[in-house]
Parts: sequence; structure tokens; C-alpha cells
Amino acid sequence: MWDLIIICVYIGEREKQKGVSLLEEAKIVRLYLDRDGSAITATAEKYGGYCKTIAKNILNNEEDAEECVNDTYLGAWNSIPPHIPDNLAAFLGKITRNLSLSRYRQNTANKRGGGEFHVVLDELSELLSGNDDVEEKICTKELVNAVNKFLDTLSPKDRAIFICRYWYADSTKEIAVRKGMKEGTVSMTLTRLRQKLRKHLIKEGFDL
Amino acid sequence: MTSQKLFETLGNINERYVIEARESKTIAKKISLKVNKTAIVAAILAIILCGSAAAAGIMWLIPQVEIDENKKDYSFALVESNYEFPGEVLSKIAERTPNPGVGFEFESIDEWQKFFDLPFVAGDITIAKKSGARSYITSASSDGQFIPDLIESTVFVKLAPGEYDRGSAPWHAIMTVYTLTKDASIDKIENTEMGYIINEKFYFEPSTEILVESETDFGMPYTLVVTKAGPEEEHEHYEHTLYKLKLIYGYESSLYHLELNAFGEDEYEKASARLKDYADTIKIAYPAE
Repeated sequence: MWDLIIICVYIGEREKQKGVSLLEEAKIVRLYLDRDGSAITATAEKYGGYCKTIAKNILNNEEDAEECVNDTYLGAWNSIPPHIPDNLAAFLGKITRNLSLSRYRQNTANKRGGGEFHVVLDELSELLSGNDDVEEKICTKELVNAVNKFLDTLSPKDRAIFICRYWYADSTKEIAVRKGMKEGTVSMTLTRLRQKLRKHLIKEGFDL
Repeated sequence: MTSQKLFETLGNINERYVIEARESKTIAKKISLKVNKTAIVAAILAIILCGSAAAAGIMWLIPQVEIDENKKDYSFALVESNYEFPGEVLSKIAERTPNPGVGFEFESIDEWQKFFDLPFVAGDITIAKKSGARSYITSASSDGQFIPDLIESTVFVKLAPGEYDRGSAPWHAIMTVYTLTKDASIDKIENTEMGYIINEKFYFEPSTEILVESETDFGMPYTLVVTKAGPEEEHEHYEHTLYKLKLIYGYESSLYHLELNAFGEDEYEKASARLKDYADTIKIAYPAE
């Protein structure tokens, strides 16, 4: 039964796989479904570095990042089953991101941590009106839909730059190296994208 | 709303974009892989000077693929013949395309073939679900008249596993068909989608080589090219080398470019064997009546 579900979920997804083969990913999910403890080892081996990069981008602290990554494995263990992720990397990345953000909030309250992530948040604050009451009125799902719509309008390159910065919290320097661009050009592109997103959100009826 | 809350909310965006960005992260330093413009121009000149090979009874296009060791790139060219739009096709395009460069989407290859009145040259592939054929027709005309000069069609295809990887998932590949029209001239070509392709930069450290130059059982010449990109050193989780394999062949006025990616040595060997097998199954399908 699980085999069938896994095949259904993963069939036709080969082109999405970069670095980890489709079968490897399916095998790891299978280990979780079988409640096989080696699922954690396999996840750490295949996705440990990936998750740690996300955690470190947000936390700027080796020890905290390591803890968040370990908690990610636990989160995956507790979620699969019943959940079967469409894409294990995105699923794990999202858990790491959320855990790291929680830890970041805790650290900020304790006045610890810092680094590039402060700058990412500062940049995002440009999209906000500064009105704290707004949060209550906004439906997160609708906001996500509006952002998805915005991302749809971007070229793959601009979209990747946006996501690297505001999903993976990558530094502008890192993005510049990867994309073969100057750091200044990346910053300019991000400024342009934020302005574009702000206009788009206002047009969609969001005043953040 | 706070910026932290906004960052948290952005965590729920479409997974597809997250994966897409991750894929771009897997690929190492960006060095441009440019198709050599000079080679294209030379090839176009060859068309003009040599005339139509179709007239001589030769229907194959011999892929002109050259590797430039210094630039680490490759070039390919449309040579020997070009396509003359039947008047009926021209009027259909004109009706649907008030401006040049507009995309056309077709539900199926059959629909695509019928619209352009072109043969489709392919082996044992299936068209990926929901893919259809996405085509761009580029043109330029000083007097405002629409004259198409290049059709570029892309279709997502699937290849069943071959002898070497039985039991695996199907290979996903992208087929791009370039059709140069009779009215195209060098200056127009440089400003068309082809020009865009020429200038497109790929996100990997390229090391390109020609794997095979051969011909199918059917007698059609083909070239198999591979571009390798090493894993990114600073991210230890990207452990496989990326191999971009491209099978290039042509028929009449069209050049076919079938591309698939393989990760790691094992997958690369299977993929190249699969593409060679594919080449031997190539057939020409004319539009169904």
C-alpha cells in the first residue's frame, strides 16, 4: 500500500531532483513510513548540510543551528506518517526554517545571535506599513496566495534570487557568487523586487 | 505585521519555487555558456551560399556542433535548408499573432504538427502530461508586415527507462525544435529567440564535450553532447556531478535538441545509453490528415 502511495507521489518528479536521486528520496521516506530508525541517519547524511545552511543563515550560530537541525529530524520523524511529503527537501527545509525562526525569536529576546538575518528582516520591513494592528486582519493564506501570484510573474532568475534571500535567508554575497553577479547588482535586484512586491500586494488589497 | 511574521508567512509559499531556487543553488559558479554567434552566422551564410539540400534530395540536417575549448562552450547550427511557410499556415499565424514573438500553446503534438504543417521527428518518447507544445514565432519587418523567421517550440517529454535502468522512473527531458524560415536573414536571426538562446547564460561550471557523432539506423546524423558541472564545494550536501546531455539532430528545416539531466556517474551512463538507444528509434511523423 505504502509502495503504491510513494510511487504515486514521486512518479514524474525526476526533473525536480538535483543532487539526490528520486529513488534515494523515496527510500528515505519509506524508512520513515516503516518507522525504521535509520531514516534519521539517512536524512542527516543526505540533507544535513542543506538544513544546517538554512539554520545557520537565520541563527548565525553553529551550536543553535546544529540543535535546530536535530530537531528537524525529530519533526520529520513525528510527521511522517501520516504526512507524506511531495518533496522531502522542501519539507525538511521548511521545518528547519520554522524551528530556526522560533529559536531566533528566543535568542533575540535574550539579546543573543545576530548576523545577516537581521538585514533580511530589515529589508522585509520595507514592505510593512508599521501598523501592528494589521496582523489580526490579514488572512495568511490569502497573503501567501498573493505572494505566489507575484512570484509567478517573475523570471526564473529573479524568482530564485528572491527565494534565496527571503526563504533560505542567503546572504547577498552568496547569491552573487552563485549567480555570477556583482553583490551590488543582487542588492539592486532585491530592492526592485521588494518594490514590485509591495506594489503588487497593495494592488491585491493588502496594506501590511 | 512584523518582519518576522512576514518571513514566517513567506515560508508557506509554493514549494515548487523553493525547489526551483534550491536547484539553482545546487549548481556551481556561473560561467556563461554561450552558443558561438560567429558559428551561427557562418552556418547561416552556408545556407545562403549552398542553397537547399532538400532540393538535392537530402532531407537530413547534419548537426554542426563545435566545441570551443577556450570558452568551454559549444555551438550548434541550422544548416542546409530552411522552411517555407505554406500560405495557409502564414495566414493562420497572422490571425493569431498581431505582434512578433508571441507564444503559442498546443494541447498535443498532433495539434502542433497540424498548425505548422511540419513533420515531428522523434523516437520512443511520450509527451509529458499537461505539457503540450509551447511555441514562439519570431519575426521582424520594417514595413509593419508580419514575416515569421524562426519557430522555436518546446515540449516536455518522457522517455521510458532503457535496458540499463529497468524499474526506474521515466526520464524527463525537454525537446526544443528550431525551424528557420526561408525569409530569415542574419540580422533578423540575431534578434530572435535564437538570439536569446545564444546569449542565455547557464548556471554551472561548464566542461562540454562531444560524446558521439553518429547516425541512426534510419540514416539520420546525430550528435550527443555533454556538459558537466561539478558539485558545489561550499555545500557539502550537493554530492553529485550534474551532467546535461543534449542529443542534436535535424530534418528538413528543423533542428531538434533533446536535453536531459543526469546526476552522478551512474545516472549519467544510463542517461547517455538511453539517449543513444532513443536515437535509433527516431521516426518522422507527418501531420495526421
